[in-house]
Amino acid sequence: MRRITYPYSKIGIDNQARHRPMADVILIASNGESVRFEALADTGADFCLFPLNVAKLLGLRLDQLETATTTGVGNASNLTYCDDLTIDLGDGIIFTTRVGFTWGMDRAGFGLLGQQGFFENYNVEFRHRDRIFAIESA
Amino acid sequence: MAMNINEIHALMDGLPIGAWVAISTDQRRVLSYGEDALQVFAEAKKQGEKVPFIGRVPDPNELMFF
Repeated sequence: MRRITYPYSKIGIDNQARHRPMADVILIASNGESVRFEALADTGADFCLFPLNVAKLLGLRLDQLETATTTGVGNASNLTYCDDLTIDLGDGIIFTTRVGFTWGMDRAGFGLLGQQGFFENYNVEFRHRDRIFAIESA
Repeated sequence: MAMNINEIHALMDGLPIGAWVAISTDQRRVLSYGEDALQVFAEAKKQGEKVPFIGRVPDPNELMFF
């Protein structure tokens, strides 16, 4: 069994601070290009989603990717480009899954680790009061 | 080895909110920052970083919902 424990990220100060379960991940495209990025463990996301700029950093050609529409708060329909990527969290926790890329995530500047590929394969323990979370492989 | 996101964010202190930033794998240096993610990434690669960390300077006043 492998287990990685992360501190929550802290944005802002004092009682205005936001604490988020963020992990750093390496995204590896089928062309061999890779980039390190931060991603929120988001149980509400159906699949893994990243900013569209990340697809460009990875050298993916948008005109060759499948498209889908995704829905989030404030946006009823987002054009989303999809490709199969390997996501490496380190310490042997690595998986390949379908990843979406959409402009809607560019403002956030981080990605989402969602149900498909991530939560369906790993046990994730949130200890919000302790400001830590852990990812554990079977 | 996982990077500590809070240490990465600490390196972003003082940079313009919303800027794209490249951080070295050893978490010690800001390699590049600016408005264009591709340019920031390219400049980091030029400095010899094979897999730089790329992120955006967070806005401490922004609430997010997904």
